[in-house]
Amino acid sequence: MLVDLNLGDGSGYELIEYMKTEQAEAEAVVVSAMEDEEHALKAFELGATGYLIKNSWFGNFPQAVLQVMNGGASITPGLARRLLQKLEHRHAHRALNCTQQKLAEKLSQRETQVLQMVAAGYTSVEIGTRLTISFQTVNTHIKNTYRKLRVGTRAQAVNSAAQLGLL
Amino acid sequence: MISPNAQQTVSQLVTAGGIALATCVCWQARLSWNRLQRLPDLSALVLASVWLGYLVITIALKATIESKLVSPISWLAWQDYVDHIGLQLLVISVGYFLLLTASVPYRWVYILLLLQFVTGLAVLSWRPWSISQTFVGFSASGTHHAWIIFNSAGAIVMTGMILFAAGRSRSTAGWLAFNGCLIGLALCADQLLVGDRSIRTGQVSQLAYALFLWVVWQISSDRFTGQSQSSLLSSAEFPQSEHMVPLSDFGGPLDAVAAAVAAERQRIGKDLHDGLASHLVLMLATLDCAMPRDQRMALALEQCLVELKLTVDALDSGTGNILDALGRLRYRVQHSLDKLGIRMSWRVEVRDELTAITGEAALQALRIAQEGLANVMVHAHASAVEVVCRYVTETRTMVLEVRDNGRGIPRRLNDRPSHASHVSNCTERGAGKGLINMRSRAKSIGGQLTIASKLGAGTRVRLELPVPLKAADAFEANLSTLGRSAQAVLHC
Repeated sequence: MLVDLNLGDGSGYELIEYMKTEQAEAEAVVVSAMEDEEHALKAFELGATGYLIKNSWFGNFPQAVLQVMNGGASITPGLARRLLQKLEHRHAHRALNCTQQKLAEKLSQRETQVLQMVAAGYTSVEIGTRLTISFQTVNTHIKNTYRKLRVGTRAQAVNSAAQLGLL
Repeated sequence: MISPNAQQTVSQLVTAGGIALATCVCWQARLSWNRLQRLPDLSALVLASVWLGYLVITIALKATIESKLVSPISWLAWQDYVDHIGLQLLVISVGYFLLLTASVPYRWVYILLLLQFVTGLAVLSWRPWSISQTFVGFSASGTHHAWIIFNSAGAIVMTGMILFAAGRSRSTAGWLAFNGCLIGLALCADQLLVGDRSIRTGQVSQLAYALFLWVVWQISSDRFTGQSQSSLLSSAEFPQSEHMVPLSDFGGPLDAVAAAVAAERQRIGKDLHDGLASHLVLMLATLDCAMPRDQRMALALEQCLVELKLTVDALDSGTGNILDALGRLRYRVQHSLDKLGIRMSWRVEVRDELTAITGEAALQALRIAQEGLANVMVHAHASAVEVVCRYVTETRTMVLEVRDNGRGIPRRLNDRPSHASHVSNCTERGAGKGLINMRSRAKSIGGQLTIASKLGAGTRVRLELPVPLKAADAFEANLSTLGRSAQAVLHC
């Protein structure tokens, strides 16, 4: 499912959350009109699995859609930096009150490395070459970091509960 | 005159103090090296270990000889030999430490130091005196004098280089290192020139010198200031200091001001984005790229867009560190490069040290790289461009390069002094001004810009910028462990 974050009647967030509650396997790809990384982060927290920039001045929208549909991950250096900050911040918090947020996963070393490289301007293919892994693996790492953002929401709780057979 | 007994007591006390100090420094330097991987810490570790080893071995030898369990004559020769080797090692490790402290950037100086070490050892180990003569023979021999003169010459060269480096960088660490050289030279002269081995001069001054070097190390690695900063943060003035890392956790009036500033910045950013930028995009769309004149215009407009977008980025999220800034720059220019068919080779080292370049320094460095890339797109007629950003550990500098394989800069533009102004041709005036701007930007942040260009072969713009030392707080230590793993893979 493609969700525009700037839906006329409010926000796409609720839609994502609803969808995730109803059907956990469905994938939501966020389309953002603005290059607004804050909003993208929030969408990831709610369970979105992809991110697209609609009228980016530089960049080809149809190509980006295809890329995401084929399992790629479109990411910008700015978004990578924010992901790093967010997950590090969260991890620091967890150290303070470790009773809470058991679901929050830490970034693996490789994921941190990939995000750092994206933030420094490398493309997936270049990162693959440098780390001698395939660029699909790079994309998987990026998508895993999106997944790890997803914590503490209602949808997530319902999801995990269902997976554990509690519902 | 004090009694020999008292003399011995003082000497023992000093030696014990030396061993204690050396052990402490060893331990501290090891911890620091493990955490931050900085070469000056490594050199301090080497120096302290050598000194510790020297002290322990000389005491052991002395005790063995005084116990009269062995034949004193041959053992005295050995003691003499070991003593000289120890001194040689000490001289070299002090030199290495001081060179690194002063951030002397030239590799050949370090090679020279290594040569001095090897030659010194060779001179000492070539021992015709030991066959028939004892240490007295050696101390009086020509070899001994040659050794002293050779080492003094080496030390004087090092001192000169450190003076030069300190004069250029004008850093406190540089001048401290120069002082260290001078005192070290005096001590060496004292120690080495006393011909008679039985007289040991300057035990106390050796210890004092070691203490002095320790202070130099502490100051140059910002340990004193770092500690005072962290103690400030944990004091009562900042009750929420545990939450320093996430800015949003600040409470009170500061929070409101910060939020208002952030909101205003975002509003300006959004206005620029939605207003100005969309006009530019519209103008770009109306241009016919088949016409050469329009092509030029389109290029200029695209540069405007890059500029604008980078400004919006900075308004939105702050400049961040140099790596973030470069990352965004690439994201913004890649599309234009693709359109022009210029291949980009991106070689930015992801290293923790580089993240220390933030704020104004990062912004100006970014502008230099941006201007360099714009020149490549507009003037160079290149087919490939390479952006290199790396950290040079020896000199603690960042090297940022933009190089292309284009047609090079016409000589009169490159060499023109900055005060000359009138050039008739519009394009050339732009380029000339761009180069001057880049130079003044580099100067404003204490960096050095070199532009090398060869007609028909390409241009290289190179910025060298000293990297500030970071305060060693917990958050950054955490980052450095992350950075190190990336660095291990990326090191090239």
